[in-house]
Amino acid sequence: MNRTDIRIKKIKLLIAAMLLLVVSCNAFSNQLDSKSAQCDTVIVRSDSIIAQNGSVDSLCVKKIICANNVKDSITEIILNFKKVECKLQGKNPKDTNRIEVKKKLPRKLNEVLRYILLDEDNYKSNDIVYGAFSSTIRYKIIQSRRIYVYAEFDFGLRKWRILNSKEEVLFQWDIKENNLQMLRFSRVVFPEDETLKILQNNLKSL
Amino acid sequence: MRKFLILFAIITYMFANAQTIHWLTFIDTTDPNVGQIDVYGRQMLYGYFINEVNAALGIKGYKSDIQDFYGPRVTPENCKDAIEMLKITDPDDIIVFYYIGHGVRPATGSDYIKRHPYPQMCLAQSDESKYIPLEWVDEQLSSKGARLSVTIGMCCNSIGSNVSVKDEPNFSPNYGATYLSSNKIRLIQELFMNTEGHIIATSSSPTQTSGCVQIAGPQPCHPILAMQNPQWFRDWYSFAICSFFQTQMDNYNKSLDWNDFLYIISGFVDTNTHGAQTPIYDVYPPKVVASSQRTKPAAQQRIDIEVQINNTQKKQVQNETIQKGDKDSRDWINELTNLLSTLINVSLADSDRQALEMRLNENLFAKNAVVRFLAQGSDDVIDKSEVSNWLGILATNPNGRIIKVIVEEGTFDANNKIKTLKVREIYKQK
Repeated sequence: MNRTDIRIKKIKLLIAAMLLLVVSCNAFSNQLDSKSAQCDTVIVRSDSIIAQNGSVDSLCVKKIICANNVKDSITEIILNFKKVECKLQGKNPKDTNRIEVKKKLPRKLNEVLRYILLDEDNYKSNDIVYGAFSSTIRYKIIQSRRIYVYAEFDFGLRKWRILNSKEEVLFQWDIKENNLQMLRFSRVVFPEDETLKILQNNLKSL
Repeated sequence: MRKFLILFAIITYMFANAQTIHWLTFIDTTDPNVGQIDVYGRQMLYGYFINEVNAALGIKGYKSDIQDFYGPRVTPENCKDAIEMLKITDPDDIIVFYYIGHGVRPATGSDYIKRHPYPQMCLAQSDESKYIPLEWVDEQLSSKGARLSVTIGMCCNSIGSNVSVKDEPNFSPNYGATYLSSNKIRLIQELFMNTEGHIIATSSSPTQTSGCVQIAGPQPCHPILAMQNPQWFRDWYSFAICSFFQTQMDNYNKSLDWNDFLYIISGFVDTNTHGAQTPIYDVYPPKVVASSQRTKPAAQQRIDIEVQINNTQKKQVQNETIQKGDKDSRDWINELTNLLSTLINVSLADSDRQALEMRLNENLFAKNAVVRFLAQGSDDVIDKSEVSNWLGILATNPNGRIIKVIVEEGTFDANNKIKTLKVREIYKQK
């Protein structure tokens, strides 16, 4: 074999390898499309399908509900986070006892947080109100060391928001129905905090 | 001698009818969320409520004194100063304070909420130590010696977790002209002139937020589209007041007092927000204050018309523009508005008003000055005229058709005289 023949063989091998790569990428992408097409199919059908057909993938539905309101990358973080760091903010002037401000969320509470965050009632509206957002508690939702978002809650204003890693506000919504639920959850995380206790007493009694 | 008699007649009239309605409005037009909505809200409030009240009371001899704070002038310091420095000159004076912006309340026990249901005003900043309690404003204004004070806060009354309890500040569109029916004039006069005491009101109950009504655009409206189109929204409370003035008052045939009025407004907001926002109010009789502690109105002073015209002229700055709401605009705007109110007052003799017309034309206005007429609820110019013709019409004012002229802006030439003037006129409906 002379040099030219070797070169031609190498070029043929390279072209074959590239073709193989392109074909395999297409196949993978088609697989993804068919999966998301399944989810799309679920969302296009009416709610009666979900009520009638118990075998619908509930996680798929939740993902789409969430993804309709936030970008897919954030949905993935909320669905697949590994740990959550909780930080109290906005201390009440009467609260002279606050010592503990930061805490890691116990693993057993991860699914509870996920359950609350993925409730579609939390993504319905962001009414214009004459009150400024002032965060009471912040949850740092961590998928990996570099991939995380913040979820902040203002229980007085009944709103919550998501911030990116640069602490820029991405989205804000009303949390009317789940406001006390989320406040109770926060009190489970920080059971001794006076500010959360005062807030809960005020909001419960009126 | 004749000129002296004419001036004496005008001075006597002005001395005898020195009562004033004082307006203090603080409207946050800089907030990133609601500021732009409040730009339109301010126009609505002035066009459909404040100007109409001033017009109706002007017929009964009330002058108007407006302090209009918006934009960067909305600060806790300016609010505190304006309230503390407000002076009453007549025991029949009326004070109205109106705030539109963010509000909040502290987290406290329910006893405190029952005793102090009204919120603190944020006044376009986020340092909670500088929030001003609405109740402090009511306390201050009701102690000034005016016959009636009204304090209204259009803001949230929701709980802020980091807000402290305060008893006082801790430091320191109609696309057209306005017509008032005789029924509306009667009701406004009843409301403001037949009441003594003090009133405090706010747009939501404790722990509730105050929101907006969408008056235009597609519904439901996506939040991003809403942020891009503030002109589609007005705050519910001010909208309720202006809506009542626009749609109900012409045909309202019962008597109207503050309890009735605020009950109607509260019901309107509560019903339309399905109970999510319920305004609250309290109407109090005049305070019983020991005579030694009673604030006495400042001594009434004779108002020499020549002196007033000269004072007004001195405030006109070469090649500058004075707009309502500018710092230092208050005196010039109010003085010129009141001079024009005297000019249209049909209870003065025609000859007296014609003499006043001449003085105004010579001293305050440039030759060929132009006046532009603005619509009721916006800054659209609907007509214009030469000032000399216009002053003539004001001085004759057949059948008292024009009941109020409100000055909005003036631009001056190199001789400190008005070369262009923007006004709103309010007419009596036929």
